Amino acid sequence: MVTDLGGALERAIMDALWTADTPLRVRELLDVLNREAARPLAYNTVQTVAERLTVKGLLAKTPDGNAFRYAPTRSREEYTVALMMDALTDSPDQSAILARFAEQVDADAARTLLDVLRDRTADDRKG
Amino acid sequence: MALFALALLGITLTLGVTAGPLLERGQWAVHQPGTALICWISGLIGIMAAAVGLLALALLWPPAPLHELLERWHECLPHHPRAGLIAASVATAALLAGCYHRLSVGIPRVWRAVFHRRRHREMVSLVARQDAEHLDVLVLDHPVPVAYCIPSRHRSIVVSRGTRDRLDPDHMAAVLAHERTHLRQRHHLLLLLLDLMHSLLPWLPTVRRAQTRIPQLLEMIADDAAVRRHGPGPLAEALRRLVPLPGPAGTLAATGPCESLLAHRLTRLEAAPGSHPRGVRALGWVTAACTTAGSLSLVAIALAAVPAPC
Repeated sequence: MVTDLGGALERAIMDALWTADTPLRVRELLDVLNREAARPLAYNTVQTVAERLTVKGLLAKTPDGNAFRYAPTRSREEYTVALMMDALTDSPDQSAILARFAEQVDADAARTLLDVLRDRTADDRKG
Repeated sequence: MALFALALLGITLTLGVTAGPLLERGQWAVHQPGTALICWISGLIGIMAAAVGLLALALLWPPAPLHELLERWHECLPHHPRAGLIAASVATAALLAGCYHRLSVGIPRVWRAVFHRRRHREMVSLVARQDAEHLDVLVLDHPVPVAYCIPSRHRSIVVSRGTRDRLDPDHMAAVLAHERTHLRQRHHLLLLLLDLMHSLLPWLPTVRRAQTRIPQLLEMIADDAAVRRHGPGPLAEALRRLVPLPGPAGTLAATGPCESLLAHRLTRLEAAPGSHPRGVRALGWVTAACTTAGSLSLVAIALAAVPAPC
């Protein structure tokens, strides 16, 4: 139960930081999170979980006065592409980690497929 | 000892060399993937049991030093000639080194796979969003279609936005039934054990072939479970729509054995359900039971025949 709660908060913090354009201090992050929360979160809770995400390499912190500002190390899209790579291919060393519905493709083909699609989406956004 | 060792070696080699090719040849497996899977598993259990039994016999039978060690524990004096003991010690050391070498390849491999899977699951839970309709489904925001499952307590089926967009509700239900079968029947665990066995005993044809054949059988089993709930139509259509390859501008073509398995699954789904001979099923189960029971009991008899320390 406790880990599940931690997981939900981790997800909420990542969501908030991905949505925000700039790195946020814990105080600002807390305001964003508490805007929608039924029961307000404590400052220390948010700081602890943000620290844990930093240790995991998901957030980077930069000093700002007496406090720190936190920002995601990679965008949500980059993580999604990495997960898609995992889901589409099966590297020989990590066989048997996923059971896919349809077939896997080889790593080069998957990479090309994802790259082409990313470029096309980027063009769409520009245009 | 020689007799038991020969018998166990015989089982390992017979099952290891002939069982796989025999099982692979039969066309009946397509109609009875469950029975075929049981046969494969019984063959693999037989191989593993005989190999471990052979190893134990080699390490424990006098004048092997482990037996000597057991005797020391029983405060006995050694009775065996010295030259024999030395030769057996060298053989034991070589065997143990061999085991260590195989395990040092196999165990880290499995550990890496489990670690990688856990990391994948953590990232999915951060990046993906909960599906609005199905509680156990997470959606990855990406246009390329994928659908897969990760063993975990909750929300363990992952689909991409591409999948959601391409599938109608009845297709989706069939895909989910397929994935839930993988999860319910613990197919991941089986694949992991198979991978471990392959890294421990990579030389036997049966083990090598099991690694390509068993995943295919698992897909068929999951397909069959989905067909029982939703009929063959939605699943076949979902398979056609979810091939990840009709990519942008046809840059990629399906190649290799992957395509043939997909084609195979489609043919199975489209074929009219013919008459499945019941005999095959019964014969398969009896063979599987005999293989497992035979090899396990031979191992037990051989180990019971090891001279007791004093």
